[in-house]
Amino acid sequence: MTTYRSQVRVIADLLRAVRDDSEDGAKVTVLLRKANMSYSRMIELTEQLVENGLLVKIPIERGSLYKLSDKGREFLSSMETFEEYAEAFGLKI
Amino acid sequence: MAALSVVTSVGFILQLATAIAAGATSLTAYKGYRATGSPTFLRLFSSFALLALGLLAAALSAGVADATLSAAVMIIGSSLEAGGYFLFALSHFFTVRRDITSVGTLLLIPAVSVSALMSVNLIMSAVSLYLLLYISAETVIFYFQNRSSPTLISVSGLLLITVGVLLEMLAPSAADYALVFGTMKLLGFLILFSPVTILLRHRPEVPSK
Repeated sequence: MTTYRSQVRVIADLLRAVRDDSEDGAKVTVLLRKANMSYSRMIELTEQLVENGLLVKIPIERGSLYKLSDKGREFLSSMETFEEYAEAFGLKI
Repeated sequence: MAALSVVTSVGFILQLATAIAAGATSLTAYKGYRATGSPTFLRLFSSFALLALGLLAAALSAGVADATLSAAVMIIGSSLEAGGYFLFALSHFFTVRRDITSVGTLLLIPAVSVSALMSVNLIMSAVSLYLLLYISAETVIFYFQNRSSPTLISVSGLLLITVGVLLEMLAPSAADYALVFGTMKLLGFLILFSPVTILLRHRPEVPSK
């Protein structure tokens, strides 16, 4: 069976992957594995989330690390609560 | 005559309370849409908003003196209700699409409902019943796939509404029974509102855009 993920769920999965990784920030390679998406899609999405203030980009010698901002943490917490609410109706967000 | 009037008044209160419960669920789903931007919540909000309007129209139809106008308001109400169940079913369809079991459920159930083609109102109730059975089946399947216990609570609410709609179809003119199926629908919608406790427990903020 094909599993369809909505854009909202893709964002939630990415933010969760960042949160669950190291406190110092997550590398794109780790996020790629955890959030299960293509490299180009990942770069596009992380840039978008940095622009919206949900992620913080930390430049390092070779590439960048990504951390959740306070706004991102708040958004993810809210998303997870509403995810649970939707599941009570037998639905996925 | 006085007894009938009391039954009608209680029936009106039950229908009004059911509409309020559906409206409250609709507002919660709207909050979810604002917080996440998820189309699932937009569909859930629209679904319960239509249900609330439909239930309100059904409640008001009893108070309309003109028989033709009353019937028209009732038909509008049952059509809105059927529309609400359709959007709810659509959300389930999007959640579990490409699943063979869902297609099976969709194909099997019309046999139950097509035999009731007696009036527009009854057709709309039959459509609602069909959609409710589909939604209940999908919710049960979701429970077995995810083992999420709050889903079971919603299943009980959906089943109460389904039985309420079924009884309404089988005995539409029996005023005494109206209280029974009115109460069942009210309890069903109150149970469907109960997942709001998840939000109260976590108190999510709606992030500013």
